[in-house]
Amino acid sequence: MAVFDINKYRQMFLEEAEELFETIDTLLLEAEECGDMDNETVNSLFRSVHTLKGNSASVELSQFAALAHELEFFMDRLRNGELTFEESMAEILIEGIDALKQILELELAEELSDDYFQETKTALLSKISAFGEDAEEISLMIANEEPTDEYGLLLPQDDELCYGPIGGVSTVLNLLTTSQDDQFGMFEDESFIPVGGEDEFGFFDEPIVSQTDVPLQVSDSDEFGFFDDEPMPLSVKPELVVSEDDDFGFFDEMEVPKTPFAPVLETKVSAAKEEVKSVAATEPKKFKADSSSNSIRVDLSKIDGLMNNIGELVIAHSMLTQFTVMLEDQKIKADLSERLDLIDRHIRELQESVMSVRMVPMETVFSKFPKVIRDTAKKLNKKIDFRYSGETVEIDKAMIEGLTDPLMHIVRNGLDHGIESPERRRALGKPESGTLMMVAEQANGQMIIKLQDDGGGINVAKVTAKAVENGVIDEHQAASMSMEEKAMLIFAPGLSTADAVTDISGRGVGMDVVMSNIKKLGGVVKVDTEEGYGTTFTIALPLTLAILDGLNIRVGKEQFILPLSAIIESLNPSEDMIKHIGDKESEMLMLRNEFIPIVRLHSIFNVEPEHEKLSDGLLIVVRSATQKIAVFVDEFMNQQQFVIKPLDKNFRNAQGIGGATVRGDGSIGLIIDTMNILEKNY
Amino acid sequence: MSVMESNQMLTFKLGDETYGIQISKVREILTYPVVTPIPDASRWVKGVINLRGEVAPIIDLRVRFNTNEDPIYTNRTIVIAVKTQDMRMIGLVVDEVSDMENVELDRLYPAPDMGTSIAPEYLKGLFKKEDKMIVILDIDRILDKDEMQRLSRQSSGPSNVLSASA
Repeated sequence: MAVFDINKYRQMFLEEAEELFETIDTLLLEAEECGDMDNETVNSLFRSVHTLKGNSASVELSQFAALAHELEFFMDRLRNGELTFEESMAEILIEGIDALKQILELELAEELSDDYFQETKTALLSKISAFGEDAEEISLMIANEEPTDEYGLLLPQDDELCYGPIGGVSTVLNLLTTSQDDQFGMFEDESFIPVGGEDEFGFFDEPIVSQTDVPLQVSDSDEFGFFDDEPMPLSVKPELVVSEDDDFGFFDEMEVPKTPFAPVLETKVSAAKEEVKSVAATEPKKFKADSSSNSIRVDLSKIDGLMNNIGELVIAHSMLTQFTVMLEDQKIKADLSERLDLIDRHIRELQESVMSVRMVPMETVFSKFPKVIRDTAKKLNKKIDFRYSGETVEIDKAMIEGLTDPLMHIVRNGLDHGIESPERRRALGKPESGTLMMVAEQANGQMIIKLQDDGGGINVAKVTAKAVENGVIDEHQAASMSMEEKAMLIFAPGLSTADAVTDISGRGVGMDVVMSNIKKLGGVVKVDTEEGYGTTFTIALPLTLAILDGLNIRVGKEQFILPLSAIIESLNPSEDMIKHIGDKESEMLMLRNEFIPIVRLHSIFNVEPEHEKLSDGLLIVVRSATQKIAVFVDEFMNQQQFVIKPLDKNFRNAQGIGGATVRGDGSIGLIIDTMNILEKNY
Repeated sequence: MSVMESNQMLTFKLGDETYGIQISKVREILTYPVVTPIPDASRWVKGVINLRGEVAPIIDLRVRFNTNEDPIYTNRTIVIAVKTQDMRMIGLVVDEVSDMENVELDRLYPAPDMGTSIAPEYLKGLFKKEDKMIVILDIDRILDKDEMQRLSRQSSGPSNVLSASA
């Protein structure tokens, strides 16, 4: 599954780089125009350059990364207040960014000469150094600059991956097609350029690849389907295509008369070759991320807008439905509701279509990991076998960012503390390489992501002891906690069992941040661990942030919405299931082997309830971070999908309320946040 | 006061007095809709409504400025929907909407420190039109996010906010 293909990552990096460059340009141009740069801008610039640097290093664009490092260093000093912003700085930075872009293009095309790189870098450094008081130091740095990379960012340069100037192939193609009309479909998609003799029609099977001795000439990032999964050097020997008559057997479907073409083609192709080279030399500007792909980039807010419009449509529809109920003429009523049903169906379909626009495959998340895991494992001298499945499962685009960081953190933690060293693993009778599985699946309208390792598991006793020591829990609590609850303590803030902080874990993002990030997405995390056998993290997330499946509940005259994902069960309690601790205020539900605190919704929300006696109403057992609570309501009504709208856009957040929605009658319904209710009560 | 600022005022009544807000802030005038009360909100926050697809709070200016301690809400109660500088949509309950007035903003009288139940910082000033007085409100100041949060913390704890929905 996890075959390492640098091209795929470079493609991703390119897309990202394009966006980042755009951001940087906008910020710099603004700064230049107003002649000032506030802290936020500086920080944002720094972050963008930093991301460029880090990501480029990970796709093995070392020289680009080295130059980005210089800019980052400069911006860092600006950020730290070591330098103060001057108007001319914006100009220098813009120049620097442009140089960076150029280096990127050249490096991708593998046409970057060391001399040119050094020249660019030195020019940039000398301009930058004009601003520092420590100019001398920097010029010293320049003097000492080795032509090789010094930043530890360099990865082996031995790859022969071809990054030709983009558009190269199509240039050839154009030239060819212009002369031969449209009969040369051969460069399209599935077509191949034969290499070697006539028998070798296995095309790019590996043995043939090894025979190709012509260095890269043309390649095209658009043609990614081409080297799918197998990073193979794509070499083109245009001469061969035409010089060997037998090769034309290849085109026989096209019914091309052979001989007349050969000479024409040959000249054209060599002309094309020239052309390609000169194109590469003169305008390396053409780096574009996947320009031919059949997709467009749309701002997420536009899709949100669309979603809102559909929400309005739903409301208008249900208003109309309510209106028809009041009609007296039965015939008209029946006709009308039939047509309304039709509209209803269309609206649903529309809603689903728009939802699907927001969805991207989990692969987007997964594909970030192999590289990180490889590098981390190398650093730790551990052997890791990383596997994933469920990459086609779709996830809301808006959740990806919030999900990647926590996953990354869990993975790093797992590699550092979970998986043992090969020696130790051998001693324990385990295979030398640890296994890390990442599985995504959809179940019960939820996204389930499992992270499973076969490492040493969590030392629950140690975690518990640490939690007691740090005052997260007291001894009594510790004694009464289940193993699972104890394992969950790793998410408590300020708890680290790492005896030594390494550069892998301990990056300032604790497991508590993991928990809060997942919570922010409306998800929950569960830990299953067995010492000596490994740990499994299970993250359950709603499929989307925009729409929520909810249950309408009623308390007195008020109705609230409870997210379905939080509900475990509901029941009508009998008197003997209700227990008290101390006064009558703190009630508990004794349910099977559990004691669950009861929260009276009416007293929290200050509503006049219909029932005061618990046995008259209903208790809904809901999930929260570490415990369950039983919410007391009068009645529950229907289950329905709700479009979530933020409450704090125009107003502010209210305790116990996670958001709002527009109901069928046009009024606002409030969505209960079960986590938040707990915090209010305890 | 900038010359560019709109001097068209929408005037309305709270109790016996006439008040004005800049017409450029006003988005809509509607009758009192179905309001969903917000738990733990201040007395003058009646709840939220659906206003053009947005969840907008309804604030009763009469309660806010103590011109009517026990207001009633019928389907003839007037709500003025305003959009603040920071693009928040908020509904304001008033007694009645009166008229449009041209107000020369450079001819406002400063509000005295005493004599009004509305603190002077919420006012742009007083305008004298013949023998009438129009109190020009600084709506951005009144509806300021931080200001409202501060006040809601001060306001007396759990009042009977939810009974107002009837």
